[in-house]
Amino acid sequence: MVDDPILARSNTLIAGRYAVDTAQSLPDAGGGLPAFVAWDRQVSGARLAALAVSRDASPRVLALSVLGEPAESLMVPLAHGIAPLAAGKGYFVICSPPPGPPISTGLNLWPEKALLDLVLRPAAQVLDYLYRRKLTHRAIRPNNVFQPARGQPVTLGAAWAAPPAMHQPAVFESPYTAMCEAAGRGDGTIADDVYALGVLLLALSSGRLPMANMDDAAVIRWKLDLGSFAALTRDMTVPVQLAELLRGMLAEDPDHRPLPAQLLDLAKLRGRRVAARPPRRSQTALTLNDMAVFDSRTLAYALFRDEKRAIQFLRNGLISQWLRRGVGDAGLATRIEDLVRNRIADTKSGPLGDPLLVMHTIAVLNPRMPLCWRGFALWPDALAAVLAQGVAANAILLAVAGELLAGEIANAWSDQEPWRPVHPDMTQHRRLFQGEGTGGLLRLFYTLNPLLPNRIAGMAMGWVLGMADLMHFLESAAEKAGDSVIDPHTLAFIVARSDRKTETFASTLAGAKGAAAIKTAELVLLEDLQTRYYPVPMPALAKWAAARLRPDLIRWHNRPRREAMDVRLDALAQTGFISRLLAVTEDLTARAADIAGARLASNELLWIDAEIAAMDRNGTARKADSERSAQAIAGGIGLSVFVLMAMSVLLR
Amino acid sequence: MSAGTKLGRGMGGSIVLLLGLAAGGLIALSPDIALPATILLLPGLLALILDRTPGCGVARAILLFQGAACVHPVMNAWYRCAGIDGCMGYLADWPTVARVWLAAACAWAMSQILPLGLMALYDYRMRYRRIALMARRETLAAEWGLEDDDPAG
Repeated sequence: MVDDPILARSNTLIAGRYAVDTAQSLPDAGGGLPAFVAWDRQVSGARLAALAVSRDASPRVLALSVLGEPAESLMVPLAHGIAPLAAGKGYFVICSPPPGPPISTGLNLWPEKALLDLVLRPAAQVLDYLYRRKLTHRAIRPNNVFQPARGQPVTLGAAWAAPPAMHQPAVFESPYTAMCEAAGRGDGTIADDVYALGVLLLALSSGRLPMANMDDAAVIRWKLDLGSFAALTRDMTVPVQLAELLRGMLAEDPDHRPLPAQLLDLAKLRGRRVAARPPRRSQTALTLNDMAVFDSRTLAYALFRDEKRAIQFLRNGLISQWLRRGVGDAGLATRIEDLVRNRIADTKSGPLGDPLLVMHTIAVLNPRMPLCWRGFALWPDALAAVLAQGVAANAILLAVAGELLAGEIANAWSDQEPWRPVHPDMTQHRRLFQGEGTGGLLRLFYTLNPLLPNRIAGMAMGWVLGMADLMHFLESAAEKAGDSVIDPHTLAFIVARSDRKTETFASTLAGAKGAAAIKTAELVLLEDLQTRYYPVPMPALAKWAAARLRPDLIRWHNRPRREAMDVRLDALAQTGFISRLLAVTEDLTARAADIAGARLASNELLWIDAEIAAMDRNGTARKADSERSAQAIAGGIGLSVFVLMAMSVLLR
Repeated sequence: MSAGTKLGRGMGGSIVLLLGLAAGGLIALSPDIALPATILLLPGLLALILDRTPGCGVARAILLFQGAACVHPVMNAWYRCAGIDGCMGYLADWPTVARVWLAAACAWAMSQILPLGLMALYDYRMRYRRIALMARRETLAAEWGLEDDDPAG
């Protein structure tokens, strides 16, 4: 099984037991995602599938954390983690293996009984299993549904290594998710899975993909115009009983679609009828963005497709006039006129006013539409994946995401209709986005996508997820590092992936002004990261830090101490701990003593200079002193001799 | 000679007063000895008049030296001569006068040479002191980098 010595090494295993063999790919196992063979080292011969995670698209973190136990008819994620590639590292989701080829390889006509027993029933069981865990699948499509052999029940493929519905063809999605950005479709609800299952059943019942020869825009327009069931079945014949089932599964309103548990009891489901009111249609078409619009539902989509013209039509009253006279919906026309009037009176929104008007108008015309902003459609719960897509390759989308957060657009959109899901963390996301210094979209991107790696160019080959990985990378890159190893991208990464204490140091670095302050803050942050996340010797990084600290030694006045510190820095750098380097250079007591010593020395020098100057200046005084002294000495000698003489006379 | 200070002049006045009292006493006790003694002390008395140093240091030294040289001759004259002529012959003979005046010259010479010696001694001491201070200055400058840096920085 595992012949490759690299694969046999325990430190390359995912969750300590799964080895990924990237030399053996599984082309059909990933439902469009790259997949490889994985081996379970604890079970001899257990061959699994490893789905590669893209750097630009986050895996589904919630599903990966909730699922883990094998489930029937579903490729369940068993583990996930980093594994070595031929060059660098990759992130993989280990799944139970597909039982056979995908049904897309030989798409043929399935009998109705087989459809119900081998497709609908096992798929509904899986969806019910997920529904009870508050999860969705969002990847039901022919190339992600597997059948071991003819007559066997199908297995739903893995949907965990990419954002929800990211790889879904437009035909398998309701028009309201199909029109979204690929990453912006969101987790959705189980009703979205029921819809995709309905399309799958339709495809299998006819032996071909419905609306196969249409582009995505045409698929969406047809579905909006005719309704999903009518659009999908317009050129195919569906058995009556199946048609009844599919009509429910493909209902426009998600609330009208049956729950997975109801799909398991078709007898009861047959009695379930939900009447949806068809939209009012106009006899005369309104042409907008080359689209002939006949109802408010399609009008909303047309406004979304061309925001510029939408604003123009709204401002000149053409939309409300057509709604009132063409569609005959005076109430809707009045609401649109109110929105336009409020927009004209609104001076607070500034440049956001027109996009807000379009967004609110679309939402009024068709409340099922996703959040439409500046030509992008997305569901707010897809913010993480949208940010990943924006950071990877779409700066405009990133700017739109920033605008949505800064202007609280998502909240305004959610508040407009009571049924709309308000993302519970949106307020927190906004706080992270607007956080001073270390805020911003990058921080939010790394926070919301915890399994995506740091994206700076030097880390393209690695998969740097946490602080320990980052420090390991910095150690390897330190030899070629310039003045700084922590750029704004990495700083955002650190803030997002570390704890609050580290965030304090990161904020200090972000707010530092001046080269010296930035350098000190960066080294303090690195020290904290090493101390708390990677407490092993890092000689290369320490050497880099020592080189950065060496110019600071000039601040120390005592030259012998400075030279000793220089030597000490070299010695400490070899031990590989930045904290020890900073303990030498940032010793406040020693620094205070150095400053005090310098002051004393300066004062002493001034005194010496004064003393020498006095010596040069006092020659005359010294001469007078010497004369006085000489006279005193002469007088003293004379007095002594006089006394001796007198004594000699008196004592004779 | 330099101009005398108030203190010097005061001290000079005291000496003159003492000398006057001594002279008066001597004239009263032995007028015959007083005249030759005056001749013996003549350089000192002249120095006392001319000396402008503070406290009349030079004159004081000359007088003390002369006084010391006069002790033995005056004592001998006290016992061995009588009358002015006798005492003048005994005390004012050239060997005695020369010895006493030579003592005065020694005192004057000492007061002129000693300052030069003391001055040389001072300079010698100052040079060594200066060398020590310069060495200390260089040590401080080298140790603390005070030539380049602001110590308070």
